[in-house]
Amino acid sequence: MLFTHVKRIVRTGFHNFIRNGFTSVASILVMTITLFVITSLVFIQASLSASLNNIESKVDITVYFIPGSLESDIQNVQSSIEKLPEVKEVIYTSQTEALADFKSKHANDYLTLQALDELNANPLGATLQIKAQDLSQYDSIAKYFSGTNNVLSSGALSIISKIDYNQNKAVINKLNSIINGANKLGLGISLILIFISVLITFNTMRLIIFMSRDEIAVMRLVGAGSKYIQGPFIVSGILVGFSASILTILLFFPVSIWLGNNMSSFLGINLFQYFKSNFFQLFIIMLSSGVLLGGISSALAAMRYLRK
Amino acid sequence: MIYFNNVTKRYNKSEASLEDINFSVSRGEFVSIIGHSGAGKTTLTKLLLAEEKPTEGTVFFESTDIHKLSSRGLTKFRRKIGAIFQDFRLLRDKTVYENIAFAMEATGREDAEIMQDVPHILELVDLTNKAFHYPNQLSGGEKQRLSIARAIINQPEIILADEPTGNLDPLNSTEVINILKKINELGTTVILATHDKNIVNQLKKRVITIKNGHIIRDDREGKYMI
Repeated sequence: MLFTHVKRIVRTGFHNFIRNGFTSVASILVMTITLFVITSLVFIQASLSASLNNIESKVDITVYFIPGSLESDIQNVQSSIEKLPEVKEVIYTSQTEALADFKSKHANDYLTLQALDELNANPLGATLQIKAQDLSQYDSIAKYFSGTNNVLSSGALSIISKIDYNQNKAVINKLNSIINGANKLGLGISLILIFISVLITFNTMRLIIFMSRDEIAVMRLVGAGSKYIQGPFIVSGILVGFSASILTILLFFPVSIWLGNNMSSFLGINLFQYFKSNFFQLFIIMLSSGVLLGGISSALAAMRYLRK
Repeated sequence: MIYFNNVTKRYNKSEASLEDINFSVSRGEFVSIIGHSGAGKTTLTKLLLAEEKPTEGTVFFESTDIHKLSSRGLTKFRRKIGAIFQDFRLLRDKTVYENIAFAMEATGREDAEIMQDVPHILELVDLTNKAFHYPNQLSGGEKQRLSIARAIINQPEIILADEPTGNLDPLNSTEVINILKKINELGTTVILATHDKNIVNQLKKRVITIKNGHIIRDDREGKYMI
């Protein structure tokens, strides 16, 4: 009995979907727009987070040591800093490496190199480049060098020539607030767009079922139960969502190829590569959004005419 | 079998569509409910189908107050009534065959049973050659015959026909009424709401006359007298 009912509901849902050709196509198109918006937002979020990661990776605190400081002292400082939970990575650059870097950077600047040679000594100190786990943690890391905490001994502090955090502080703080703002704004806009798209899809499904209200009344009169009436609409809604997710994924192929070829440097990510490597997850997101949206919208819309 | 007890239906406060309606219908009866347009006939059929709720009073089917039924109970109750309407109320996206089959499917009948019964009923209402036509490809008479076929396919206890001949020519009207008479002769209760004088006079069955929302006559073997 249950199997017969389910079989009939699925069959009627398929029939309705095919027979209502024009309305099915219209609702697939509306649903495609919704899924396109949702997937675009995933892409935008990926691009935004790639850009932000790129910017974040360029931010650090550099601790300059007085030239001639003992490497063992510097390594003590390094191991103390590495123990801090906020610290992601500490890169040590020795005096010799610092000089080699400087020379390679100024390979074409003959005057500077000559002046350096005349010094007959390495004027550059060793450095520790500290990367924080999160952009907001640089401030607390910098406080460890102020001497108020007991992380570094006064001896260790005395070999530090300068810390460039204070010069970069304003930039880091500004960047931090921009990144936070961009994330919040991105999320806010995403939610609003998704809400609007869902609303449009929901209303399209409602419109289709509104057109069927007389039929629903007839079905009730011949003694069809609520679930038996509602079922085919849900099946049709699911088919709309399924078709729309296939259409969206097909549309995203050329779009992502074009964006990958032309906009990679602007977006900070090759979206075609992203699309290819995350194809399965993106398809699941589209499919589940489409199927859920179609099914739930149809169920809610049909319920309205079944209350009597 | 059916009991209307002090039923009043008001769509607005000032005017009642039906007021203080009292009557009962026994099993196997053929009852015509007559009255001019707007007298309250359709409201009465809607109350019996539980499409509308009475403002006051009760409608009982046997010992059940039909307006107190749950959604599931209402579905089961409606399966006991075969409804026929002036505007046919067919499923326009389904073929003649599917319209009838749907009524059977809705009650949970098996496919084998449907495949056996539908051709038989199509033959009975002379629509075998139109089985795969859609309602918009049928004439008025054919639509009403389809509507009757759908109404009787589940062997209901009551046939409720609301102006079934309203959109038909005299020939088709006679045909429809003859089918209803046959159904009644086989033991099904028939309630016919109409304002067709000739039909009522030919039937020579019980007639309830409604005027301005009130029952003014209830004759065992009545005629159309308003």
